[in-house]
Amino acid sequence: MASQVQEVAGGMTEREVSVSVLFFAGARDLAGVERSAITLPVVTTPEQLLARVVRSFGELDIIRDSVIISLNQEYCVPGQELVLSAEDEVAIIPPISGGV
Amino acid sequence: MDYIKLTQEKLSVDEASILATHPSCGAISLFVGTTRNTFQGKDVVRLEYESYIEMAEKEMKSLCKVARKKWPLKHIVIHHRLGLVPVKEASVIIAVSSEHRRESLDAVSYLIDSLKAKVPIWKKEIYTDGNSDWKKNKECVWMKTEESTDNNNGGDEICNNSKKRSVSNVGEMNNEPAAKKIKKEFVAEPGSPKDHDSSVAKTFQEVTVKNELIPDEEASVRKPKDSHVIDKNYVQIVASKEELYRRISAFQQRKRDELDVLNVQEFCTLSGTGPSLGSCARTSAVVLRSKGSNSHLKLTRVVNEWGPQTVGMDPSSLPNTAVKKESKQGQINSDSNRMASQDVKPSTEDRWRKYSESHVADKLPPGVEERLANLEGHLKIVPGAPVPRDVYVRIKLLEDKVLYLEGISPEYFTGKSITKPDKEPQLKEIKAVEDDLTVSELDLQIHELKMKLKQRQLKQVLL
Repeated sequence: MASQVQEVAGGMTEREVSVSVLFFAGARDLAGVERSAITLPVVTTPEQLLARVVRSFGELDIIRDSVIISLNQEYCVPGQELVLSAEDEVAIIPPISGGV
Repeated sequence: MDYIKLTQEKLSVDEASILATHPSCGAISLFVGTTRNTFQGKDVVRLEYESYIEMAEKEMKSLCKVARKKWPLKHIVIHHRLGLVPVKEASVIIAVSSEHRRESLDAVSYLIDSLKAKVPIWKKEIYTDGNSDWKKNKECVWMKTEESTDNNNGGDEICNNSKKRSVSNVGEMNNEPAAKKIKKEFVAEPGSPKDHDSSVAKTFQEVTVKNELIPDEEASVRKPKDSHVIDKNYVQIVASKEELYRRISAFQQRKRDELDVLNVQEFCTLSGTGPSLGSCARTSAVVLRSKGSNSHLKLTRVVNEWGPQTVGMDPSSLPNTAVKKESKQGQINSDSNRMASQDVKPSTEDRWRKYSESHVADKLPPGVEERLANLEGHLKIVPGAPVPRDVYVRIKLLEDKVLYLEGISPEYFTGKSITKPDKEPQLKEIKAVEDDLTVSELDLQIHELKMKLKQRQLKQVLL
C-alpha cells in the first residue's frame, strides 16, 4: 500500500495511492469480497472514487446510484474533495437498514 | 453517560434499563425494536444484521452528542444486535433517562429515527421460499430521491385522504374486500406508520414490559395486503397534484386580493381616485418650512382626511388635496409664529364650504331648514356665506348674531317702550326722512303741511 507515482500516457504525472476498500451487505454480495486494495488518485471526489471501484468490480454497476462512500468512517458529501493516503479506509455503503 | 453496544448476543431490556437508571432521574424511556415474522405476505424465516462496526459506533456517539445538545439527558443506552436474530427477539434497544419524561421520550424517538437514517447497519431477510433480501430504510439519508420499490407507500400517500374518510362508510359495504382491507390498514397505521418493511416497532414508556402479542396481531392484520387496489368510489378527489396546487394557490391569491381591497377601503380615502389607491397611509402628511422662519426644524402638519374627526361625513365629499390647499393658505398668510392648530382651521372651513356646496339641503326636515334659512337671511348672517352643515353650528351663529345685535342696541332687549308692531314701518320711513332734513327744510315742510290742512278745511267748508 505504498504510494507510488505513475507515468500517464500524456507525460503528465498523477499521484496515486493504494487504499483498502470495504464492501458491505449487498455491495459485498455483488463484489464477492469484503475488502480489497484499490489504487486510486490521491486527490479525488466520491464520484470519481466510486467510478474507479466500479471499474474494478463491474458487478457493482447496478447499485452504483444507491450507494454512498465513506472515508475513514465518515460519510462523504457529493463533490467533496478527498485527499487519500495509504492508511485510509474507504467503504462502499449500500442503503442502510438498521434498527427494527 | 453513553452506552453503545453492537453485539451478537441476545439483547436484554433489563440490562438497558438498569444502565439508564439514575437516582436523579424521574423518567426512563425505553424503545425496543423487535423482528417480525412476515413481510408483504412472505414468511420470514430469519433475519441477519451486519454492521460497519467502527463507523456505526462513531455515528451512534455523534447521535448521542446531538441528542444531548437538544435535551438535558442523563444516560443514553443504544444496544443493537448483529448476526442472526430469531423472529420476535429485540434487534435494537434504546433507553434514555432524564429528570422529566418529555425530554427522554422525545430523545428516544429522535435516536431511533436518526439511527435508521445514518448508522451503517444492514438487515437481510431470509424467506421460506429460500430468497433473501437486503432491506433499505426509508429514513436512509442518501435514499431520499429514490422511490422505495419494495412497498406501496407511493399509492398510500395519494389515497390517504379518501381512505380515512371512507372508513366511516365501510360498515355498510363490508362485503367488498377492498373496504375491509382499507379499514384494517387504517387501524394498523397508528401503531407503526413508518415500519411497513419487515418488523414491528413499539415504544415502551417509563419502563413498561414488552408485550409479545402485538406483533402477531399486527402481522395478521397486514396479511391481505398483496393486492392494493382501491375502489374508485372511495377516491373523492380525482384531480392531479398540479391541479390541486393550482387551485389552492388560486384560492390563496383570491383571498389576498380581497384583503388588499378591504385594506385600501379602510385605510385610504375612499374617493377611489388614483393616488389614494397607491397608498395605505391613514393620513397625508406634508413637510413645510414656514416662510421667514429661522428654525431649522422641519415642521410637519397633518390633516386627517379620514378618521374620528370626520366620522359622519361622507369621505368621498372631502377634498383629496386638503393638505395642498392648507399649505397654499399657509404660504399666503405665512406667519412664522402661527400655531399648527390655527393653521388647520381654514382648511376645515374650506371643507365645510365645499361640503355645503354639494349638499345644500341636508337631512334637516324641510320646515326646520326653511325657518333656519329665513332666520339667517333675516339676521343677515354673513351675507352670501355658505351654510354650515351642522344645525348646532347654525344655531350658534344665530345666537352670536343676536348677542351682537343686543350689544349695539340694548334698548331693544331691555326696555318695553318699543311696542309698535303695526306702525313701525311708517314711523321708520318718516323718521328716516326726518333724519336727513335741516331745520329750515323742516320749517318749510311744516309750513306746507299747515297749508294742506288749511286747504282741506276750506274744502270742507265749501262742501
